[in-house]
This record gives sequence, C-alpha cells and structure tokens, in this order.
Amino acid sequence: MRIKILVFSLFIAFQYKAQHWLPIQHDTLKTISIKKHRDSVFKQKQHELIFTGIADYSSTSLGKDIAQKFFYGGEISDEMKQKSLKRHNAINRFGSDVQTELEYRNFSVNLFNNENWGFGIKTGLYNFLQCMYSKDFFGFPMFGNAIFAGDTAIFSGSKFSNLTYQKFGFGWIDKKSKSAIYLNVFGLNNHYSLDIEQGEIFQNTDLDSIRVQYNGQATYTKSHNFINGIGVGIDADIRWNSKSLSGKPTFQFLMRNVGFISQTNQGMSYKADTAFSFVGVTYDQIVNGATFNAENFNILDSLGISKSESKSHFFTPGLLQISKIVDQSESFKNKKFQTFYGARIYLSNMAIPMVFGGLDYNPLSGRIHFGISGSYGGYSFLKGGLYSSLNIQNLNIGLSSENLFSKTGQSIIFRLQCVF
Amino acid sequence: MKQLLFFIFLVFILVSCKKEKTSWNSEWAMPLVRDTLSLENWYNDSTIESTNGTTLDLNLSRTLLDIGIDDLITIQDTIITQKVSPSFSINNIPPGTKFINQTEEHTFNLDGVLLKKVTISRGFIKLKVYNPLSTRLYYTIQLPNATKNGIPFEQTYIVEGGSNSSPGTNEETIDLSNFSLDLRGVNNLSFNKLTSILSVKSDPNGSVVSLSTSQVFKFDAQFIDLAPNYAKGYFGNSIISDTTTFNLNALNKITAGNIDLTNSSLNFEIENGAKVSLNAKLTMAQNTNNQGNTTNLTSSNIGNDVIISQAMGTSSNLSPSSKSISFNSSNSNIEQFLENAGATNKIGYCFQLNPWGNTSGGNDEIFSNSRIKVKFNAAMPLSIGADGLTLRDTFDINIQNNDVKTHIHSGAFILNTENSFPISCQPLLYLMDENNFILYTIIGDSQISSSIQGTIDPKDGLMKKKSTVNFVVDESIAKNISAIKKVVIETIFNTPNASSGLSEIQSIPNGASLSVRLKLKLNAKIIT
Repeated sequence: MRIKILVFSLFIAFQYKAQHWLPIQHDTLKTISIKKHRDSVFKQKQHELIFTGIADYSSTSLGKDIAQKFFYGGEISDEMKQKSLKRHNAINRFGSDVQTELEYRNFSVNLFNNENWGFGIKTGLYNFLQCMYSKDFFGFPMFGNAIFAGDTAIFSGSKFSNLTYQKFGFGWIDKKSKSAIYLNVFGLNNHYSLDIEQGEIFQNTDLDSIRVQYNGQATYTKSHNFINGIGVGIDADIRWNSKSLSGKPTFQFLMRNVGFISQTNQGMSYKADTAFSFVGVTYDQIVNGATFNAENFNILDSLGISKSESKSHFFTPGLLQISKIVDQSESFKNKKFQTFYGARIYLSNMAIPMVFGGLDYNPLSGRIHFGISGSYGGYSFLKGGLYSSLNIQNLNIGLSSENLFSKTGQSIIFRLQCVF
Repeated sequence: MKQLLFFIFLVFILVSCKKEKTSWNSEWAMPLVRDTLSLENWYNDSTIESTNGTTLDLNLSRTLLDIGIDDLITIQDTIITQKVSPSFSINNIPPGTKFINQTEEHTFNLDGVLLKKVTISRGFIKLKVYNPLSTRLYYTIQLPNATKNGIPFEQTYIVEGGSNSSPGTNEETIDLSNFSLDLRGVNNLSFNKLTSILSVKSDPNGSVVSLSTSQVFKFDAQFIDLAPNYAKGYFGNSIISDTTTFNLNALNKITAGNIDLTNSSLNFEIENGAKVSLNAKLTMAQNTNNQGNTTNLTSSNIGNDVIISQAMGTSSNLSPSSKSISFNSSNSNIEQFLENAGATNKIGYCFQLNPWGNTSGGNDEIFSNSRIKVKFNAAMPLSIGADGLTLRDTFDINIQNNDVKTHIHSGAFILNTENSFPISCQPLLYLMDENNFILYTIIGDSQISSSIQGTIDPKDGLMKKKSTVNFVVDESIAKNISAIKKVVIETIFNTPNASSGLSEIQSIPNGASLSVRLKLKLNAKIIT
C-alpha cells in the first residue's frame, strides 16, 4: 500500500511539477533483472511496475538561466539576455521533453500460450517542445526592435512545435530478454506549430520606417476539449547479447513514441506570404479615422494573413536509439567498471543525431551503481551527465541526468521499479 | 489517517507548483505618423492662391443664404366646391340627356401674392362627386385653364345612385405634375382664379329620371401639396428677415494669444435670380471667439439698403443680377473684426420683394432655376502675425497598462519636423482624468522652430528648419496611464523676427509645408 501511495504521489508530482525534472535518457539504468535469474532470485515475482519521469531540455544557445525563468518564473535580467545572445549562431536549436510514464509488466501469464511471452500495459503523459530558430528570433522579442535600427531582423527558417498527448499501450514482452514491443494509442491534448519559411523585418536607422516580409504558417489547437485528436504508435525495447563480441556485451534497440496523430477537432491555421511597409499614418487618415476605426477594417486582411480551419495530421516526435548497455546480470555482478555507448536519432528535422558514451561503476556487487556519461548532438552540442542506481530488495531507484554541467540545458530522469 | 496525510501531501505538491510570472524588459520603436502638411490640409471651401508667385492669399467663400421658388411662392392646400341645384322640377328626362352644364370661378388665397400663371412641379388633386338621384349618372368635370401639353383637364365619372341625404359618390386622386394653371379667370383679367365646368347627364342605358329643386349635384376638388416650378404675377412685397449663424471650428481651438492680419477685406454679394425687384440690407455682422470676446462689424454699409434689379432672360438663359456690399479697412473695422478670430459668426440680413409695389403690372416671374443668394467672401494676403497664439484640442484615450501583464514601463514620443512656415510652435500635452483634472503635463523638450531660423533649401528656394521634439512619458505616467482619459494638445504659435525674436507679421511663402515624422519609443516589460 505504501508503495502504491508513493508511486501514485510521484506520478502526480511529475504531472504538476514537471518543470523541476528534466529530459531524456539512454536507458543506462540497469535495474533488477530477471532475464536470466528468474528461477533463482525472483522466482516467485511475477509482476513488475515501472515508473519513469523525464524532464529534459537542451539548447545549442539558450542559457538555462533564461529557460529556468520560463519554467519557474522570475525576471530575466539584461545580463542573462546578453550572455545568451552571445552564444547564439545563425541557426539554433532548443528541445524539451517532459513526460511521465507508468508501465506494468506481467510475467506470470503466457501470452498466446507461449511460456516465454508475457504482456505489459503502459500509460503516460508527454510533452515535446522543439524549436529551430535564427539568432534574431531570440533577440527580437527579448530586446525589442529598437536594437535593430538600420538593420534587418531575420527569422527565416525558424520553426517551432509543441505537442502534448497521452498514451495508452499494450505490449508483448519476452520474459527472457525483457524485450518489449508496445502498440500505443495516443490522445492529443494540444498542438502548436510555427513555420517561418521567410521572415524579415527591416527598420531604418531613424526607426521611422518598417518593412516586413514574411511567408509562413502557424497552427494551433482551437478546441478546449481534453482530447483533440487520436493516433497510433509503437514503442520497442529490443535487447540482445552479442555473443560474437568479446565480453558478450548486451545491446539495446529503443524506439519510443514513433507514430502519428490525426486531429479530430478543427485546428486554426494562419498563413501568409506577403510584404508590407509601414511609415506611419497620414494626416487625412487620422482626421477621417479611416485607418483602424473603419467598420470593415480587419487587421489580418491588412497584413495579408489568411485564416482557416482544418484537421491536420502529423508524426509524433519519436526517437530511435541503439546502444551497448550496462549489463547487471549475474556474470557481471562483480564487475566494477563497464562502458556504455550508443547513438540516438530524434525523428525531427529540428534536431541532429546524437552520440553518447559513458562509464558505469559498480562498487557493491550490483547494489548500487554510479555512472558518468557524455553526449554530443540532439538539440544541443556537448553534454555531460551522471547517474546513480540503488537496488533495495524488490525495488530499484534510479536517478540520472544527461545534462548536468551545461549552461544551455538541464536534465533529470527518475525511474522507480519494483517486482512482486 | 493515511488518507489524510496523503491528501495533505497532494495539496502541498500542487501548491508548491504555483509559478511566478516570467518577465523581461525590452525596447520597442514604431513610426506613428508620417506626412507633409501644407495649407491644403486645413481648408475646405476656401482657396489659397498665390497672386505674386512668392506669397499666398486666402480667399474664403461661403454661401449664407440660398432660396428659390419653393421659398417665395407657397400655394396652400385648397378645396374648391361646385354645387348645382335645378331651378325647377323636371320630370321624365330621357336616358343620355345632359341636364346640368355650369361654369364657375374659384379663388386661391395666396396671402398677397397675385398669380396669373403657375406651373406645378408636384402635387395632386383629389376629386369627389356626389349623386343625389336614385339612378346612375355621368359626371364630367373640366378645368379648362388647367392644361398639360395643351390639353385641358377633364375627368368623367359614372356615379351610382343614392339619395339627397345620402348621395352616391365617386372619388379619385390625380397627379397634377407638369400641369399649367392659368389663374386669370373667365375673362383673363383676374388673379388667383381657377375656372371649372360641371356637367351631368343621365345614364344612356338607364331609365327616365326626374329632378327636383331640392337636389344638389356637386363635386369637391382638393388641391394637395402643390409646388410650383414657374410662377408669373405679382409676388407681393413681403419681407424676409433672418440671422444666420455659422461656425469656423478651427478657430474654436484658439485659447489665447493674438493674431495680426493685413489688407483684409470682406465682401457680401447678393444675387437675384428672380424677375422681381429686390431691396436688401445687412443688418448685422458679429463674431465671438473661444474666449467669449465678441466683435461687431461696424460700417456705414451695415443697415444700408441696396436695390437689386430683377434678373434678365428666361429659364433657359437666366442672367441673375447682383450687388455687393464691401467692407475694408477704410470703411469698417474689418481687421479688428477678423483678428478677433471668431469661431461663431452671426450675419443678419433683410430682403423685401417689390419694394415699390406692383410696378410690373403683375408680370413678376420666377423659374425653377431662379435663386436668391447671399454669398460671403473674405480675401486677405496670408500674412499673419502670431504672438502666443494658442490652439488647444482635446481627444479621448483609453489605454490599459496592467502591471501584472505585459505593460509599458516608460516611453517617449519623438517628433521630427522640417518646417518651411515662418511660424514657430511650442507643443505640450495635458493628460487628464475623466473629470478633466490635469494629472500630468508633458512639455516638449524643444520647439518646432520657424523657417526663418533655418536655411534656404536650394531645391525649392524655401527657408527650412529641422527640429526634434521629445515628449517623455516617464515611469510614473506609464504606471498611471490607465487613469488618463483625455489628452489635451496645446500648441503656442509665434511668428518671430529672425534677429529680434519678437513676433511680427510674416507672409506665408508659396509652397510652404511642414514635414512631420512622429514615432513612439517604448520600454516595455514583457510578462508571460
């Protein structure tokens, strides 16, 4: 009962305090394993409950001091803005992954009468925010247009996407390898996107003339319904021993949240491909009030923006990862050091492929693990991380960060597993 | 107990998630107004022209009175009735026999106007006939002097039978547009008289009828809403007298200071488009400025009768006659009158038609295009001396600046000008609450300088001077901007001498303009 309360409480905590717990992992937490020792250690344990919470954001350029202000609130100082601006290049990336997931695995039943197959169910809440943007896309809203006197603010190529959905999945589990494949159903909560193919704002030195040119599209979920779309997807966690390699290392292929979602309610879309200049209104326009007070005046029409409603379909921002993982099986139980390494691809054109590697330290025969990791890519550049994992009777508690030292991101991953 | 602790734990978690707003400061700038203002922006029914090619003259015209035939000739709604009773009883009148045929003259009451002829532009006649016999009768009504395209008015009605006490009736309303009425009567020598003929015959297909002296055969003709477009006769010698008021709203914004004008003149032109003599006079001219100061135009021409002879020609080639009453500095206090800068102007006038009576033998004429007008014309060189001349205008604003949302921290309106008018201007703003209480005063940090303090632009040969005026909206104003409901813009004009700085009369050069660029700079706090 206590465990149930704790798990439920943490689940609630993740949903409401997600800004304190940040993103994704390479599943280096090798937890209680039953794959080869089910007959001995956990012979009578037929069920496994896994709670995972991820809160991660990373960026090539945006300082975490600013990001924290967006997550926790507070005033962004001029110093913070200046430091971040200096880090910005022509193209910049930002990604955020906040999610909670609860998974139940049943090893007692024989799925399809196969004694090696069990089943699992999972549910979770996921939010992915990603952005690829120009330097001025950051500078313009942060500093205002006054600093662009005599200059052109360029937003071309900037993209933004934010997706929140729920997932419910049912899956097949291989009792021996602990591999699993889940078929998931998604329920879309909301979706926002912005795509600026071409966007420029030019202001003359005296700031008394503005010329705007833009070609882009913005969409958002119009309905306030809880569910605004449905979708399907696949999660896969395939593990195998490479007996041909020395040391018979264990590899893992991970596929998460790969699928698509179709909106069931109309979304709002704004499109524009236009250019206009503004130098101020004239005397006649002021006297006649014909500029903004006219009955038929429409700000969108005057800016050349068309508005429409439609149902859109889009892929979920999943990831694919292949890695050599830390093996905690009986034969490695007393091995003090193990390496892990791999590569990860986010299924998004706003991220670049990521490679990672690290070293696991096992000082107490599997009861506790410490690790250090490094990675390059994704939504950021070079990142370093640490993790620890503790096994207590039927419980494994893991705490990890993939991004502990960076000035442009943070990460925290929590995993709680229990078998019973 | 466990449930209670769990509940408290949940509440703690949820409360601890309350997030402070994210905020940062940013600086924004945008253009608001960009235009080049010349005098064309300020006049409507006046003309500004250059007679010497270098300086401008103002020619202001207004029509104070414009009346026509509808205003001079009014035909009241009139009913004419023709009744006929047999002088003796007749029996056994065969079917189809005309037994009444009587002509009668009717008089229109036109209040001293004696009309010989009138053409109707619009109006109606409503005819009603009464049959006292028990059998059907044929009524024919003729108005031989009411013609349209040369054809006299004639209407025949079949009226079912009735009785003497409850006669059978028939009625019809007929459009009289374009009918011409000859009102000279049967002998063609009278005025305001219309002739009618009533004839009655028995039904050709009916039975024999009998008449008695007590029976009344009649018709009513009601003339409704008659409006003439031509009239001939004697139009009387009525007096038209009135005082007209017109406002020059631009002058209403002058709240202080003086202007100095030179070589001004004021001319009233009275135009007579009717073929009738006219006696006219201006009874008064008065203006009142924004400060409540009233000036009367004094001159021997005020109250002086002017005879305007009748117009010449006919409708197609009408040539109105006119007379002018002029006021200048030698015969009046015209400069003092105009320098009062009166926004409210009153002009009194009086007309009398036919001042010497019916001297035309009843041959006055008025056409549809005949107009009697009083026109006002002021002409002066655009040379003006302004000494602290203060214009003030007020407009409403409603800006919400909520500290907990994205808001303006401070800002400034920046006015860049290039002035080729020889007039300097010191602008300031009063920010008031809804009760007109001044909360803040924003004084421009400099003035818009007069062109005479600048240099000659070789492109157009005009003296020009550039100025920049900043109106700073400081933090305290921005913080309280929601309370500001009205903004008063006050501008103080002077026409300084280039060397002495003292105001003196300056001529407005031909092509003078004020190039204006107003932009807004804001320090905003963005809150998400």
